[in-house]
Amino acid sequence: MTAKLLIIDDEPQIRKLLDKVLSEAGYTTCLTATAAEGLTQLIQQRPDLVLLDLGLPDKPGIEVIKTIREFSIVPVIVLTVQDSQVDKVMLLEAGCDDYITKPFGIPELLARIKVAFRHGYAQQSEAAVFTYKTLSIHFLTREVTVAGVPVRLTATEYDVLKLLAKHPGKLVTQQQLLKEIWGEKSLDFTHYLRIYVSQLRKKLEKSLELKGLLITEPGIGYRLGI
Amino acid sequence: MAKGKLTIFLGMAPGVGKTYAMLQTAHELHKQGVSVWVAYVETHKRAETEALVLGLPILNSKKMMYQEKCFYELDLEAVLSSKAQLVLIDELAHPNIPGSRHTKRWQDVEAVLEAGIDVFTTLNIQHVESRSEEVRVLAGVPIYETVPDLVLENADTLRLIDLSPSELLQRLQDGKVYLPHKIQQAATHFFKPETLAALRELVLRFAAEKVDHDLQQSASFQTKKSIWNLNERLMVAVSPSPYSKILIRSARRLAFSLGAPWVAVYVNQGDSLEGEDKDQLAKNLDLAKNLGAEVCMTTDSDLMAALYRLAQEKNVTKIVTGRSLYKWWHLFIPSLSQRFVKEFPFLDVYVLKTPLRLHKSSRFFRGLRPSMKGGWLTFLLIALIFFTSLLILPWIGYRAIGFLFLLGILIAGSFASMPVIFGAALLSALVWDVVFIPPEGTFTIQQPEDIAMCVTYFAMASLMGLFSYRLKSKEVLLRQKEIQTFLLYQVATCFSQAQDLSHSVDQLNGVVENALSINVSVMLAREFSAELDSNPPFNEKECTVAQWVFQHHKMAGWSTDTLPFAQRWYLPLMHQETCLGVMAVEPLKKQTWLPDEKGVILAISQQIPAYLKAYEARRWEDSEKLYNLILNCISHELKTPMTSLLGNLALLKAAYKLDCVVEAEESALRLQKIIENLLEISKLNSGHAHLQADWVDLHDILVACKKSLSPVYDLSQLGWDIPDHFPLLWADPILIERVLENVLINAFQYGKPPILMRAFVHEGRVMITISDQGHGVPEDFQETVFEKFFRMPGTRTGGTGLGLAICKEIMTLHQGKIWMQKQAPVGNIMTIDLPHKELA
Repeated sequence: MTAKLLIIDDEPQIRKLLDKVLSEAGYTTCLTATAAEGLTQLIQQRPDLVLLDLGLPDKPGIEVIKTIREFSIVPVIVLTVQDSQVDKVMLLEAGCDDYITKPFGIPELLARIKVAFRHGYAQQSEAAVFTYKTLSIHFLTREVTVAGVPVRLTATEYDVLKLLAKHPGKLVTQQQLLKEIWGEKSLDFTHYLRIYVSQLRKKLEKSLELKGLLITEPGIGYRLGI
Repeated sequence: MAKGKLTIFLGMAPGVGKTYAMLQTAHELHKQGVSVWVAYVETHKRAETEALVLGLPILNSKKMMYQEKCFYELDLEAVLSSKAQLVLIDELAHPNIPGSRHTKRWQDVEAVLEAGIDVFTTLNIQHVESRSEEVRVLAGVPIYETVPDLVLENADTLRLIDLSPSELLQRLQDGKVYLPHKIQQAATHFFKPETLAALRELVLRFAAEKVDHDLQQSASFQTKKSIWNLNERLMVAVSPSPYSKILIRSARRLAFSLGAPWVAVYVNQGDSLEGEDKDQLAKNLDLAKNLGAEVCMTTDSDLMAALYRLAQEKNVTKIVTGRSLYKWWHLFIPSLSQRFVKEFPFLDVYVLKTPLRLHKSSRFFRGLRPSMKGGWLTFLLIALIFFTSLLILPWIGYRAIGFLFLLGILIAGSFASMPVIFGAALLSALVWDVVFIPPEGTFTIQQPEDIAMCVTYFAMASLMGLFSYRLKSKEVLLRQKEIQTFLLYQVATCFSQAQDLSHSVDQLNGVVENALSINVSVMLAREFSAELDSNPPFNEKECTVAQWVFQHHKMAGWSTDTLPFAQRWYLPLMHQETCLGVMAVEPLKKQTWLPDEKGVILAISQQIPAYLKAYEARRWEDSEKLYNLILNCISHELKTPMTSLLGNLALLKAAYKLDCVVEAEESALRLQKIIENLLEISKLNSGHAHLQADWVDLHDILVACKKSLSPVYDLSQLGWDIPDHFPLLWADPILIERVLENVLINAFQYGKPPILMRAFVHEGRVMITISDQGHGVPEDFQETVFEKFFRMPGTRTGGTGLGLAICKEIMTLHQGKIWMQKQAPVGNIMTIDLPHKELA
């Protein structure tokens, strides 16, 4: 069974393009032009993923995300023209899984869709062990190995890595990281995060295999580059 | 700039040779090479003096017309613009003719000193503010023009020009002393040996005091103590009487000799001053201010309580009061000085002698007149009650009539003054006794209970009258305070509610027109910068004054000492160090202002700048909203078709692999880059770009850059050297990534690999350098490469010409810098320089 994608975009050219590209990549598509129509289709068709344009005529994008999150955990990828990091953080906080800035390249779009399918909203990997190339994380024993050799991580470094590995490939905002690891009151302490991430990078990316594992989205957050 | 030095040549009388001495000294300095200019010297056509003037360079005096007569006055502008080190300005006490910048010459001299120019000037002792009264008494000539003692106190040198009275009289007889025509009669009094001797003593004593004071100052300076004796503080109460002036001068002399600061206090006891009294009070307070007092105003119906409170607040140790003439009632009611002694045990009380004549007249004219307020009305009221009582006597009996009178006194208390109420109580008691209480027609009273009743009546009437009077004056005071508070509140509302300035000013005028009888207008800074204002708010003269205020950040115009000929009072609207504009206050009727009324206007002028700033911020916010809306709209309209174009070209390329498609895609990508850069630079240039600064790890930024560059450039040619413990940057992560990316692209595109990036901290700045091995940019272009759409001659096309301009804007936003240098032996080196912020 092929995965079904719901596309909500008011620009006919973009709709047509997405339809063509995604059908070719083997997905079933459902095209809608307004937020109202999109939400109806979401209920009736039960798609596996939503591609949402932010500039809809009938409802601000962020409201659409919030409405979707009222009743559904379907992965949502936002298409936006804005560069502002504040807006992006707001979208992520509202519950979208990822965003992609127009104009975008086709390969990038397909990669993002793939990642979104893997983790999904609020859906954590339940496996006891996370493995990627030579890296393995044993959640039960809090042990991290690279090519079978244990890597010594401090408790906080481990927490950061664990949080990213629980949502593999997903963009985790710095606010989420700070809140989960240091608590509500530490939302301004981004320098902690920078320091721990840079230490993690030093320890893990020694191995050439793992180069580019920790990806920074400047001003927004981090993701594991898998 | 250091203030100029003031030298005053002081003499006891005209003709002692002050001007001559001044010119001689000037000549000596002139010979030594000091640039001395004669700004204004009155030679009185004396040959020797004129000869002395001739040897010195002269600044021409200004010719001014006043009342169709021609006057020669000091040309202040010429002095200020001259490059002189020292100027001679004769006759410090000279009053300027109306229309000059200042009313008095000593103010001109102050301005010259402020400009860093030394001044020589002359002065006679009779023109010294604190001594003028003494001279008036001594010589019997009225003194009109005085110089505040502060000017003399701040003088760097006081040269005493002494001459014995007999020598002076000899010179006078020889016709060597010039006297202005108008004082020739008075001069006969003045130039008597006794008078001159007394004047000589006065001037010698004054000089001695000044020497003593200077000595104390320098001694205390050596021991690093404050100049003022902080343990002592003098207080003097000021009233609207002309006698107050003498008290103020005496207080000042005492304070000066003690080296203590002093406070002049006016207690408003609820009487609203009008006309002459108000003028006199304003004059007295001005005098106190000019003599260096701290002027305080307070309102309280109880004079003693107010003085007590102020004395404690201001840490006063001594109080100066005049001696009240002894009157019989002081047996029962203590005089003011007696009360001071009794009620202020913690203060030294100085009781000063009072000139008899003046004191009497002031009591008679000023003491009595205001207290007669309501006298006639009270008399009529008592008479009315008297006649009514005569009519209704048969029905109510003589005793009840006492109550009727009491009622009358109570009513009178609400409008009459205290003496009137006492008088009315006495009168009504007498009338009641003589006319009504049996036996009628005589003063005697038959029955003992009637005697008791009559005496009690008098006491009660007096007390009740007193209380209702007190109550009334308290109420008046409260109302005055309330009006002021309400006024300020209304002013605040005018500005916080209205949308634009002219609307606010209209509303403000609605409020102040009634309350203060003034009309306010506000001129903004941009009105001053505009060269040609097609519609100036006032005439040319007024505009000049406003301009002066705007430039000098000082108030001027009507009711001030600076440019007083103007019809309005101009106040600068200061916000921190910048002047946002000028507030012009036009009095709608002839009036004088007391310090507290001026204070209200001052408070208004201090509120306005905050509102002006708020308006500006609001306008800016609105424009930012609009700007963002437009920018988002444009970027949406441009980026949507680009997405479709690029996406379809990618599909086409995958399907057909045609050269033309590849080229179309390349062009489309370039177009996309141009659009992005154009939007970016327009946002940065609009002034609406905000830094979203955060802690940034340079490694993170480098990783992000490499990711976006990897499809186009060969990153194996990029090396970097970032120290292990390189600090986090405080910067906007997205913008700083843009800078690094653009600089790297620039190096790849126009330089030659390998490219090396280095980062280090140098003198509190974070430095990131990117160097390449290309030909390098010639020095002439090292700055122009950061200009918009600049392209190095002879380079291949492909860029947008905006990359480095964007970098420069971003770095400016970060309070950082970016520059380019040639690297030895080959290549270019680009340096990004950011302020280094320590982790808290």
